[in-house]
Amino acid sequence: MILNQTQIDSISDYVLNEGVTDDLLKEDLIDHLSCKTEEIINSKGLDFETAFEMAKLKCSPNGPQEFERDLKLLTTFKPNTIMRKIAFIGGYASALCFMLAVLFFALSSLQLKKNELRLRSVQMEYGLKQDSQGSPGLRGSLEYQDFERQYHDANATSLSQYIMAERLLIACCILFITTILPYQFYSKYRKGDLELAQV
Amino acid sequence: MILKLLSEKERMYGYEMVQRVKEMSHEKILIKEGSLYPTLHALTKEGYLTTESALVNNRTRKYYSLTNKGKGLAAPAVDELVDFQQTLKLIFGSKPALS
Repeated sequence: MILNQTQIDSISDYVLNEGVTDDLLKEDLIDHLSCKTEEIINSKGLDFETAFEMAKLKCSPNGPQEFERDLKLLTTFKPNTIMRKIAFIGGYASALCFMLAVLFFALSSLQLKKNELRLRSVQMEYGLKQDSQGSPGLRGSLEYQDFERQYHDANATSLSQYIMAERLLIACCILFITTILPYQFYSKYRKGDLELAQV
Repeated sequence: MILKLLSEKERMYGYEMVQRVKEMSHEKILIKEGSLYPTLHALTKEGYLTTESALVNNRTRKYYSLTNKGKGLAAPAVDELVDFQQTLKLIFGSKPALS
């Protein structure tokens, strides 16, 4: 037995009333439910209404809208994968920047501390020399001037390391904000969207 | 499975695919409609399948067939599955020795 136009119209109304909006999917579902209904009528000799109810239960127990939801999930899978890749690379770069920032900050602090200690020890050494030998002013000696130059160079290095650490920390924050956070928001939004759709 | 079916037959519609798989697997594999149509549409959107509509028994029937891109994907995908099946056979093929 083949379904007549009125019976196909009632299947079509069911699919439309269930909220399927994708036109191509609608055509597929109407044809599929029609085929299944015909098969039940032909094999079990049931009337159209009963056979259609059975076809609905067999083909789409959770309603035809489930098909559309799964379709959306499948077709939005690719951008999601791209976002995941970006988030992964961004996260890795962000972590790398953070570690380098810590390293430069530590180097800068150590350099500064080393300079201070060196300054103190040199001042003490020259102070002692001055006391025992009655040598001219501390700042007048060539050795001390050489030390002072080295001290300023080391301070400049420490400062540049500190600036580098600062820049890396900024880069780390920017990478985190632009890659990981949007992915986190997107994932939570998608999850919420799907949960809402399942209600 | 869809790619394999369509590589054997020029064009098929959804219900026909479900029935064919059921028949080929002696009713051991039943493709759920909820998985079939979203997959068919996703493959169409990605350019692996193409559709053709025809008016059959007072309703529109959509036939799916492989595009050239889809044909290129079908053979390696089937080979990969066959290879996997053979690997599984190596592991589970022989009966366990009875102690």
